[in-house]
Amino acid sequence: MSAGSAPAASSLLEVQDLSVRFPGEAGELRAVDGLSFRLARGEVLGLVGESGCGKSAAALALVDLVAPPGRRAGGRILWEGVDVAAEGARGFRALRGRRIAMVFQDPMTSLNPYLRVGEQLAEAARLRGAGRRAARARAEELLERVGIGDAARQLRAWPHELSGGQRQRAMLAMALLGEPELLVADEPTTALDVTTQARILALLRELQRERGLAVLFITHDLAVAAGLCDRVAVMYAGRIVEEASAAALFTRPLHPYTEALLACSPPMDGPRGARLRSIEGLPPRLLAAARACTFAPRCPRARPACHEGEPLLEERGGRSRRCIAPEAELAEAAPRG
Amino acid sequence: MAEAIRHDRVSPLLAVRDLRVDYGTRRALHGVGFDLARGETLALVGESGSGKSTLARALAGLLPASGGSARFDGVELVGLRPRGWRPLRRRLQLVFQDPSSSLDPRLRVGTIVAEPLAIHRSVPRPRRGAKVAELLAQVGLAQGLAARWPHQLSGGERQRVALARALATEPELLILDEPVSSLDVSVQAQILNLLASLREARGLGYLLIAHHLGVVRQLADRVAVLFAGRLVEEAPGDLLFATPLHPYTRALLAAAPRPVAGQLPRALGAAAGEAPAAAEGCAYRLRCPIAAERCAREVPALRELGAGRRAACHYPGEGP
Repeated sequence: MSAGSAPAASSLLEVQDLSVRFPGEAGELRAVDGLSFRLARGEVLGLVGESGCGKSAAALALVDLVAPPGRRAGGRILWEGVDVAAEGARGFRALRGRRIAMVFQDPMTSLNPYLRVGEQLAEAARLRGAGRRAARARAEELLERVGIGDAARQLRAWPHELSGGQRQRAMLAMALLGEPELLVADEPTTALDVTTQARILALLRELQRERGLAVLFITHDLAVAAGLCDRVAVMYAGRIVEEASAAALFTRPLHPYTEALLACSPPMDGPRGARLRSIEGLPPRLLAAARACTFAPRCPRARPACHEGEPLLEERGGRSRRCIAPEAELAEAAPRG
Repeated sequence: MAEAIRHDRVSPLLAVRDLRVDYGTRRALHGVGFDLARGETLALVGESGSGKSTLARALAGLLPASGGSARFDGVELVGLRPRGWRPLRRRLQLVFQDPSSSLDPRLRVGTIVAEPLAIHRSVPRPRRGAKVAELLAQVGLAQGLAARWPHQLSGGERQRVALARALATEPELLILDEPVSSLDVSVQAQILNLLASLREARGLGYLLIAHHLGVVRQLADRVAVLFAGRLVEEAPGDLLFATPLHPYTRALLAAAPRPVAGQLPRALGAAAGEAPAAAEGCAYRLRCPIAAERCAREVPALRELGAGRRAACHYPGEGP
């Protein structure tokens, strides 16, 4: 729960060298390229990065939902030590929706618009073997639990009658019906108003504390990840470039990309500068294996060696990073927030 | 004449009073009023459904107001006929959130930027190419981009093109509707910096609509907070962020995520969608953590509270 030093034995999920590719006109895009991480029971891991970094593709690959012509191009996905990727679709079906649940950014696309909310929830409960009446009771209980007041009435509502926040809560309730051990949440609060987002984040934290739910939280919003996650992995061009406990990452980023991302975000408190720092240029779209640091062309700390070979993701002191710049060179980030 | 010009400098560029907008029988804007000075940036903040985009659209002439007044440099916009709008269009431009849907995909970048020059005949045809080049340079785009199509550009480049086009007519006021919310944080910073330097170079006024409070803080001189179509607080940016007076403003600030490990944003009172706007008394009271009996009886007026601040609350500054 605390730092990034979970022993292998306690890993609920371990991803090794995962790759996802999408065919394109110029060749196959390496959306995710050699991604590895571990997630312990009851741990909240943030996967953060800008659009196109591969975070969503990675999440989909974890549950075998990459839409063709995209494909998982390799890697091991160990669930309690067993490689489900090796078992193919059957391995994932046994986990998905039961031990692993998912919520996505736009709940309208995941809810069936022609079924009342209650029917969808009850159906999810019946899939877990609950009887009709028990399923309904369970659905009502979970709606209350996720903060939808007047649950009995809301069960009769159609998805379009709910507000964005209520739909996201309904999705969360549906995801939790199966008592999953892992929740994969891809930008679940991005479309919501901040007050609603605050509620959903608090709820996730509660579920993690009370039920030992592990969460893989995918977001572009560093501040949201800081608040919720135990550990955070920063992705760039399909790979993790830095991973650390949230406490370490946000007080002292050790990769220049993390450092720059933090400096780009306009602060809510503290002194306000006339100009924000920005990162010039655009991330690369990799069609072949990286031969150099993928961030080097945009990196203010790049040196000749950075263009000559790709640094490894090296672990040191319970955190890891893919960078050869001396740690001391990365300034102590100013306390923010 | 000299006196008229002097008067012009002190009078607001935009003066809005009791502006109302209705969608059929539903009132979206319940009488909103504020001033925007020349060269000033006023941000409108509030949740979805607060009326901030409605207000922007009404001021840009895209929606009819059902009552009240909005004067742009003395010219009344409410009820203004298309002929009256024509000379104002070039002085007041609107920039949308998603540049990919606001740029015509069938036109090259150069044509998109030159179009307003042709429509307003403000620059003679032979000089338009040079003017386009100048505009592209001002928004930080390479000249070669003029020959490209919108779909060949990145999101940040597209937003720069939208800005270049808006600047073509030498406007005095830009209405920016969520100008950076579809962009990644690194690109967002570039555009915010660009907006700040354009403002300095040209003395532009901005009416900025943004839900991200960090963005608002970075750019705004003053902030107006809208709730359910009502202006509930208005203050200079620094004061509003340091000591918000309306419970709704306090709730918005508490709920904004900070990049501090372990610090979850807080929901004070009921969150959006958990309780409706009240039809009687204070509209916010059903979500307000400090609502009292008086709030159900009496609609709080928007009161002056000193230091350029106003708030519509019976108990400003109290509560969590």
